[in-house]
Amino acid sequence: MSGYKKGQRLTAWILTGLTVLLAIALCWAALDLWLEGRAIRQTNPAAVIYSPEAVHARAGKVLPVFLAWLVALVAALCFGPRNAKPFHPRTRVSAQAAVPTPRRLQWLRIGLFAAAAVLIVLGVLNGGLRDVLVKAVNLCTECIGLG
Amino acid sequence: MDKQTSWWSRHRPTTRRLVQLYTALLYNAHLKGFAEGEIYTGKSKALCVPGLNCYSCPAAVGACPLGALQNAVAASASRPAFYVVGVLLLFGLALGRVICGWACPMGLLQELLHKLPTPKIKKGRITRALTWLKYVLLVVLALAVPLYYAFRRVPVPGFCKYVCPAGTLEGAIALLLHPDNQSKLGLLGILFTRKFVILVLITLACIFLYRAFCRFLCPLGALYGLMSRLALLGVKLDQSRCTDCGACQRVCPMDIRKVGDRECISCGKCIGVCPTSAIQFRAGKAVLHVSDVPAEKTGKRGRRVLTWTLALLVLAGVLIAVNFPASAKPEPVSTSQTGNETVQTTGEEPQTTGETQQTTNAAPAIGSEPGQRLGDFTVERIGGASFTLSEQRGRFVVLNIWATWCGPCVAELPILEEFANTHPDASVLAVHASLITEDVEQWLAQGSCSLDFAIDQDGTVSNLVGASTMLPHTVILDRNGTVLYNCPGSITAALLEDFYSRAS
Repeated sequence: MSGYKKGQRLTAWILTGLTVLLAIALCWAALDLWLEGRAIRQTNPAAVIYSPEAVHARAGKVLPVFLAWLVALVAALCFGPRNAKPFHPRTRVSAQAAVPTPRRLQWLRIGLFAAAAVLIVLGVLNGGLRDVLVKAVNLCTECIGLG
Repeated sequence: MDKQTSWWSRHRPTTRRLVQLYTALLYNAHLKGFAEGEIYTGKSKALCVPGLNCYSCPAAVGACPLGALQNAVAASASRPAFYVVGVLLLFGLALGRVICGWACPMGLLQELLHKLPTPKIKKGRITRALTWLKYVLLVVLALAVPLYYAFRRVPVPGFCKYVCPAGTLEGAIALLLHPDNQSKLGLLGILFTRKFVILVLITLACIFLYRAFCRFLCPLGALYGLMSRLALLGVKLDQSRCTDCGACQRVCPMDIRKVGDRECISCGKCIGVCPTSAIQFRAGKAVLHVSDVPAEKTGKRGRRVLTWTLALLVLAGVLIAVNFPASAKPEPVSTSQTGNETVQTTGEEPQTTGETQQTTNAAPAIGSEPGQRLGDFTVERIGGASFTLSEQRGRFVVLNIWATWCGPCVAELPILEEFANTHPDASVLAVHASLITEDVEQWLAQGSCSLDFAIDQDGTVSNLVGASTMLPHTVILDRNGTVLYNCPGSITAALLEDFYSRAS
């Protein structure tokens, strides 16, 4: 952050602080919600942990932090540090002849390409392609974290 | 303001950024899915896309190679994972980690997060050491865990289940945001809480560290990194012209030791700073004029316009094909008709004894929602006798829709079995979903589960209970056939006992 004006540094650090705070708030909200839901579930196994009411209540608490973060973000984008020296390469690449790849590497590559092709054909024949389709068009609730 | 410091000169998208945006849209062309809250179920999902993109995202039109790999490893006890291994080998050999730098939506997202104007953590020895973590995750979570559970016949894609932020963000959260999926909030528990916290922490890390997930955690990047040296396309170093000045390493935001090594994502930032032009973006023997420079400065204009025109035509074609398919989907089964009306079942007949069933009780209404009475159906149990719902009156009924390829489904079978054994007055039927990847009877014969099983060949039962593409799905009926519980997601023994005591 050196080389920037004091005001620019300040906005960046405020945004940093609020970003960390927002992350903490989000994690706290999720954990708090789960802990509360777990306690309720001990008496009522069918109780919904992430009920819309509980989610809205936690969202209401996180919202001020989020709004503050949003304001800080806009301020940082407008007045914060900016990339004074954007990366724009000075030199252009000339069309020189590429260095030949070692022959041994070429043969290995060809062999592996052939192996990949054979594996794909075998996979299509043994039903692997259909397996991928079946799993991709259905939702495994646990796999995406739904539970 | 001169051209060098103008807003546009600082924010003009590079060729790489345009390609990243293009591929992200191409992988997620089913934009209608966000409006419908449903995932795409077209046949293109049999094909893996090169980058990490959760196939449970409502917009995804292809399969995630990492998810497909884990599921293939999980099913390797019954079928060798030839297809997915072949596809990954092909992608790795052809593109290597160019995929990470140019064609991964998660990579794009991380780079945009890193653009937030905050202080950044520079790369160093610690970040270099942390890059090995992704290889550990590849071996442990993406390969060893699915393989271990494969021999216990429970498919568990370890990385997807415990870590993958793409699944949480693109799959779970994107689906839950849709108003129609509010009922799915009931599924959420510790698993979602844990994955949500992981997502927040990874997002935070990506703001302060360039591509934190990609550098330290992504098993797919690790896999492609192993094939970097062999990759046909990518940034290559001409050793004979290299003066070891280190300019490339200094400008590189990744933890490279040498251009083109396992950590190099071929972004091309180093091409322009090399004083001897020893670094080139090559496709085999051909030298390509692409680097991370503003789009309008690279290549020949005519060729560039032609390339982008063709690419946009392809994208437009894909968008039209997946969002406005020529053949309309069949109407879903109506499951909320009143008392004496008939319950229709889709499909052509096979396992049910009739397409329509007359009901005799005037109330409650027939449907699949709690409080409604489930329409009648008949399915053949595996091993003989048929199961007719109307014949179960007076019994507590649990219908579980499962599949051999679904980890949580297989994991909860023992819970159902124990419940069935301890409650003789309950009928528990595990109905295998219509999508079958292996011989279910053979799969059952290998185990010793004493539950009643059936196969929902044409999806009749799934349609009747209103099951979506989410598995497992459990329906609990009281002794009058009235629905007490009808939800996707795993169930617990306590939940079953609770409903059983209520029904009693």
